Amino acid sequence: MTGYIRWKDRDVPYEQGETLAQALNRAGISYFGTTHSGQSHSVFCGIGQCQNCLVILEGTGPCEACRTLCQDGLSVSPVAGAP
Amino acid sequence: MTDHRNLVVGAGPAGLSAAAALARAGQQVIVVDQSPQIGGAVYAQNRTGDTRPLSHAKERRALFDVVAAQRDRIEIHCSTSFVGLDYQGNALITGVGGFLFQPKAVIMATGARELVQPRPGWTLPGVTNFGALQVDLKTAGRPPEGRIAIAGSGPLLYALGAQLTRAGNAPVAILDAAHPYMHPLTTLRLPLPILREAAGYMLTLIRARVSILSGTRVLSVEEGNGALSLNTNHSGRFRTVQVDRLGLHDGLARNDYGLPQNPTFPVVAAGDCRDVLGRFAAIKDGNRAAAEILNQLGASAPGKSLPSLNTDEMVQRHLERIFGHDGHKKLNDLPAETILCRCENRTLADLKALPAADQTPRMLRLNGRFGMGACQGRFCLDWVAKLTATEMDPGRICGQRWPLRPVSIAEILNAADRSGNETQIQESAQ
Repeated sequence: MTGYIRWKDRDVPYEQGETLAQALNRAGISYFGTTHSGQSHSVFCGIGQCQNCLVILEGTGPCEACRTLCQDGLSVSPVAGAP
Repeated sequence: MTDHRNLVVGAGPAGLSAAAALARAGQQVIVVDQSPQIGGAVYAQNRTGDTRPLSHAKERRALFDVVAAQRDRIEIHCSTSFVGLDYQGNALITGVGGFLFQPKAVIMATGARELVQPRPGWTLPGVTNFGALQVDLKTAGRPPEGRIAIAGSGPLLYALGAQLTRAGNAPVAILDAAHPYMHPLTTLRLPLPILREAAGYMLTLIRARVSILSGTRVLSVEEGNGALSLNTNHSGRFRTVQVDRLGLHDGLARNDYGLPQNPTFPVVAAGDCRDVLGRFAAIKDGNRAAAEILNQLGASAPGKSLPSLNTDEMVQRHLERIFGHDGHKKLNDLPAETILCRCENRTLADLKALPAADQTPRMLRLNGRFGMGACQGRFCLDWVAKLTATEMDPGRICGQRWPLRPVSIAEILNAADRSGNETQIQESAQ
């Protein structure tokens, strides 16, 4: 383990070079929230084409979990309004 | 104001070989790629610091060496997105070190898009494209956890299945909608290196006793008890397979979505972005695209004859025959509530409810809302187009786009304007 990111109210460990999506998936979190149209935010294309894995990066705004690398202290949450 | 630099979008095999070829001819090149590292999906690198060789390590090394030899003339920006060319021909680049500039020429090497046919449950968490599983495996150096099934069609099913097996998590099943074994004569016409690669994959899968079910479709996916249930059909025999993750893949298409045709400077597509022929062809096609740019710029290209893509094209046609199936003809038989557009939640029933007069590219977008969501139709328009009465070209529904991907206002504001147009605007305002 090389560090932790914050997902909602829990710490999720990540290893060097992992994306937010990889760390979340490995922690058993595949559902990242609900889209404005009621679908699940989750990894789909995995390469930044589909926008299905959008999450909110504190201080930055929406980002694709599949192409954002983990860093210590990053705080990540579902997109606004999602449960 | 035209910059002295050329822009290459995409740092996969086509983009990197194009950048190196331009640099060898004395051109300055900026390469941007939205992923954190160069290599594209096929040569994605292990990011964990693990130095064990991955698949295609030798090919990747050779390609990276060609680029490194020209490092004085090539700037590479990863985690950086190309947002599009505006009406003045300015390229907006966002992300790490984003900026706005007018390139001398553009090479689009954005690779392929995966095609995944819609079916009930394809939007559930845990259901992904192949690309997601493959990039995970390559960049994390280990396979995704849990029981994995891979389904769809094409040679990549077997490549990914073998790669997962070698990495220590063999798939529970490979569900192939086609009957690839029924084309032995076509298979034998494939070039030896391809047959050897295929044989290697098959040997790995057979040794690991991976269940390979050809002629089998995943009709729908359901979620329950923390697992995914795949409802499959093999010539009328129905079976349910329980897994944790499902990778879907129904082929590849050019990722040339909404690209502008700008007449003021050369814009050339290369590699899978021009024609999906795979990584070997992409390297050759990058060189071809660079030569085309140099020719259009009136610059002299190093006098080397370009390798032909005839064999790559032939291989592709053979593979299409071997892995061909009629899945796309069954789109009409999907349950009416099947989601076609994942972003805007638009179903087959929504499409069928549109009056005939609304079956035009414009009305499919305006009234149908197809292609209007965050993915801009990359994952629905192929199927929407096939379902229209005239089976129209999906590119016509998409049209040209700016931006080519969602972009925040902050990202636009953070992009330094080096186009020289800012001054013009201020002057004309005075």
